Amino acid sequence: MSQIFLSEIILYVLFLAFIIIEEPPLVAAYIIAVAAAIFYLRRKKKDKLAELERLYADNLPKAGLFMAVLALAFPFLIGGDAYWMQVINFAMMNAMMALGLNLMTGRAGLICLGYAAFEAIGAYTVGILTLKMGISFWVAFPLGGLFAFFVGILLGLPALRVKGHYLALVTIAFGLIVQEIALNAESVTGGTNGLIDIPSPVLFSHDFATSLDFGFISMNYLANFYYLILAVLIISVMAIYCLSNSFFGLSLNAMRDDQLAAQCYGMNLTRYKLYAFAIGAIFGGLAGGIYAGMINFIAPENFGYGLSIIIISMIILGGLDSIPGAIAGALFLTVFPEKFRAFEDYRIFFYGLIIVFCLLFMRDGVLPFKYRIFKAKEAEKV
Amino acid sequence: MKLKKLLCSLVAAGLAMSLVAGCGGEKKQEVVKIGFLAPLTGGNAALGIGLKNSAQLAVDTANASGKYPYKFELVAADDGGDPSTAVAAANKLIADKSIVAVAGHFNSGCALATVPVFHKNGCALVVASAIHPDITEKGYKEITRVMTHSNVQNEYAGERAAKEWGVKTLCLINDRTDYGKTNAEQFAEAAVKNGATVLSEDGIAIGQQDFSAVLTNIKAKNPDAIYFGGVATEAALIRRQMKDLQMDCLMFSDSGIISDTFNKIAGPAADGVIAFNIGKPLAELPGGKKFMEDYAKAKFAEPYENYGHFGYDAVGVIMDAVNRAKSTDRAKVIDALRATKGYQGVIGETTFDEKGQTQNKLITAFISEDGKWLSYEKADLQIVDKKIVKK
Amino acid sequence: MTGAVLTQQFFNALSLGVMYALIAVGFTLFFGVIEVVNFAHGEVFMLGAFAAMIASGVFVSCGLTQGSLLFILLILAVVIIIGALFGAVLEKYIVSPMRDAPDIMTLLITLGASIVVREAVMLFVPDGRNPQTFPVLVEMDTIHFGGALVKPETLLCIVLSIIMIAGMHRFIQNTTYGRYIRATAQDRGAAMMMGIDVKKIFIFTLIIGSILGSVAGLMNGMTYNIIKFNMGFAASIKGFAAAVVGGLGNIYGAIIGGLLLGFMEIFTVSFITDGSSYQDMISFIIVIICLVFRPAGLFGEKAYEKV
Repeated sequence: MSQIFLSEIILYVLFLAFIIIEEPPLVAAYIIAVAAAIFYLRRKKKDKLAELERLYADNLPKAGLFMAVLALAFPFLIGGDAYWMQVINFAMMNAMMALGLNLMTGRAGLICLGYAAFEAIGAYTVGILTLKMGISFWVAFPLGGLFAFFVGILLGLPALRVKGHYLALVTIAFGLIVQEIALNAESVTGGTNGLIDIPSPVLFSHDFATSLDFGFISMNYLANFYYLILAVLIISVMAIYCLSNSFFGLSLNAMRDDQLAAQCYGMNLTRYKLYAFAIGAIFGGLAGGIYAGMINFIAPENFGYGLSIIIISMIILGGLDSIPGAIAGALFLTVFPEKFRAFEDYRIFFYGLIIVFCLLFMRDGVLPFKYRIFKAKEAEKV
Repeated sequence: MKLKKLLCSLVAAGLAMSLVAGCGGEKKQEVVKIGFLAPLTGGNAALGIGLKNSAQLAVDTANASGKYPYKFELVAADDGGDPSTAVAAANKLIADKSIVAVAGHFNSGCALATVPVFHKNGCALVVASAIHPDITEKGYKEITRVMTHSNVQNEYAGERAAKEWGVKTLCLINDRTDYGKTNAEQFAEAAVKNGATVLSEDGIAIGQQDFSAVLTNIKAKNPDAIYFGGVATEAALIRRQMKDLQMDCLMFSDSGIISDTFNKIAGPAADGVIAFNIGKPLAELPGGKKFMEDYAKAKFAEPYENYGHFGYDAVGVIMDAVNRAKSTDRAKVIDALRATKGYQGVIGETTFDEKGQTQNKLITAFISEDGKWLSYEKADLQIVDKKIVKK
Repeated sequence: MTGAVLTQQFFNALSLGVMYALIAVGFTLFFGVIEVVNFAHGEVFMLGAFAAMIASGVFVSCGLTQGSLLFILLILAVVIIIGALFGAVLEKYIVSPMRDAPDIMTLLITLGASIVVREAVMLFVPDGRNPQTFPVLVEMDTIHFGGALVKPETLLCIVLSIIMIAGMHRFIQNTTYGRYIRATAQDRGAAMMMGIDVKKIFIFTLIIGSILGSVAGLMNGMTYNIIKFNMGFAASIKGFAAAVVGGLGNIYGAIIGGLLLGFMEIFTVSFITDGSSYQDMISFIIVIICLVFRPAGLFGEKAYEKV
């Protein structure tokens, strides 16, 4: 047990250090050092790592709980620094989207190159409902997820008929079409001007746009959103974890690996494909809803093809079908470019390089998915 | 954070010690930091860097002049020309408590996204060159703008086109960005008010190359003029394809195309395109000559581009306000900023109205001639009977 | 709508469609033979245009007269060489290492490669961020054609495309190498057993397809005179869409798909008020509907496993 706590604290400290170091050369040196350490551990201490992995697998609830506690403390440790709060908020929202996309693309093997559209749908649902109809954020927010769910089914319909490369085109087209609709349906979406002054959420008469006061410490308003996103992210992770390990998740795997065989075993592919799209879409919708509430301004250009590609590169870096991988990929790929603001121009270039290098040399990503680790039941061990 | 603070203070202390040791007896001035937001990377980087350099120039000039009892310092952050990045950058500046006020922004989208952030945090933002009317529409006391908003420009443009140049029929094209669309709509409104009719309105996509179909439709309608709201690349493509289709109607546009890029890529077709911009050519502005000389002297690696002087004045207004407020308290600086009256800057006189909008309303019509942008009055080309002819 | 306008729009559509078709042929060729969708195909289109622009500058400074036959042939040669090089490098370092990976991986890696190439041009070509003027290679007068004005470049492009596509067709149908390519496309394993060096055929296919792409880029530069580092993206999406509508793997399908897409776009603009705002949306919706009813495209060679 202590090993789990120790390793988590080490990871946490490593992440904090990553946030705190500002100088680009130092960051680069730091990343290289950490990467070298990981490489060393993977090569030389394989047994230890495997043991640790087993420990995690055995004590998942406790490990998760401890991780959540550490995450709760995060705003205090960076002293409510607005800039880094914002970056971490974005990172966690990206992590949610990466999880959703991972369910579609990683687990079910249905490629989706227009995932940003789901974020757009969530964001616009919340924006329109709260701004134009005065509905509370807390009602609009789940509705955003629900709406994304239905649009996911809608996207799933043509996807039922087409496969592989054809699906890639359908999803690209889908992303572009959603963006075009947001651009053209001016009376509803505000067109190119977008929606301005979307109200911030208010919970128990605490306006999320005001600073978060703990009595002894007062933190920037972004801390409100930090805890909101953290809560939603934790629920998302649990939901995705349960889904992935359920019969449903295994069926998606079966479908990904061999559609024909899966069908021969009596799987209803139609239903599973639709579900994979629809459920994966929910998380994008939720992330979008928070985006609208936090930034208070949305426009079609925020949800372009580029964002879809960035999310894809996150799950490729983390490892397709790996839940910790998706989160790690999202955190790293959101925070890292912030460190190199001066080299912002190279950002997209860098995403491209990540995709190419990961696929060439590390096809399973940094935290690869392990197939079906079924542990022996306690009784059987005896 | 504890660790970070400790480290920072250690480093700062070390630096301060060495500074004190190095230049012993200099008179101690209070250091006042001014934040600056501009697209330093991305598609508008050239314009943003020009803005930033000019702002730096304003700070350096003020410090050297000894006019103020403060030592000003510019802290620039990159808004990337994209709303999410802009909000993050704004938060970064706001988090630095030693920054008294922030100037900047080129993209209206960025400004629209950060305006609520500045409002929520009670920090002043002086918008330099983003023109969307909604930026100052809410009238938040934190927000002021030294640039005239697009309405003023387009009212002038529409009226001049319809009245002076006799444009009766008009076809609109916009690039479906907030910038292009706002300009096209406002121009049309003003022109219609002065007796013109709009025959068609088309939206195009950024990155689109082929406009032949749109232009063929427009050609069949035979308008007096085409107004394009957007930026250089698409404008140049449209202009070239107009020539291919042998269309000789007038072409008007907004300040987004007033750049050397447009002239370069549109080639000889660029001749006779008229675009409207806020302000005047620098050389014709009261402080313009001095600004250009100073800028040349400061030896920046990049040119100040189209909007540099607005960045210069945005920062100038802040320094003036800090001086009048005699305080580095953010709230007091906000009040002083809103009370700005008759500030003499490079772009002329800046006085803010009740919404924080400048009352300076200088507009110029530019015409492209031989690969250069000239003000219409000084050019050889002119409009006679709705056609461009040489004087 | 008068006859002249219609004729004009017809030519507009034709020139757009031919451009799409030429890109689509590359996509369909790769898919038919190697079974990959090469998202980096748009980048060879862009590279072709940039190579021609840079080469033209170099040749002019070497004292060649712009517009002379030698000049044009030299530029064409440069463009072809760049296309071939790009194809070979792509196959060797990007596509072939992914041969045994799932389809989706190949698709993603070419996507990554396309981003790298595109951004590299933006970052490392001097002033690459801004649009560039493409030199006028041939000086000719506009042609009047039944009330319509046709740019000579457009006609040249149409003719060149027909020559290239016909040439490729002859090559594939009538030469030994063409037969190898067809054999590999039909059954890779059997082709290998018959002694065909399949790896060579793969490289060869990518080279041919990429040459078509880079020449399309050259033609694009000649037609529009303005090129930009991100022009490959739109081109690859449209070209891919055209290939998919026509049925991946079917060369004639790709040509018809390209023309169809071109005509669809132009006629959306012609017949719908403010159609230009909707042209991309409408054409993509039609593509999706098309796929729903014919999942393997209009002329798909093999029906996909039905679900």
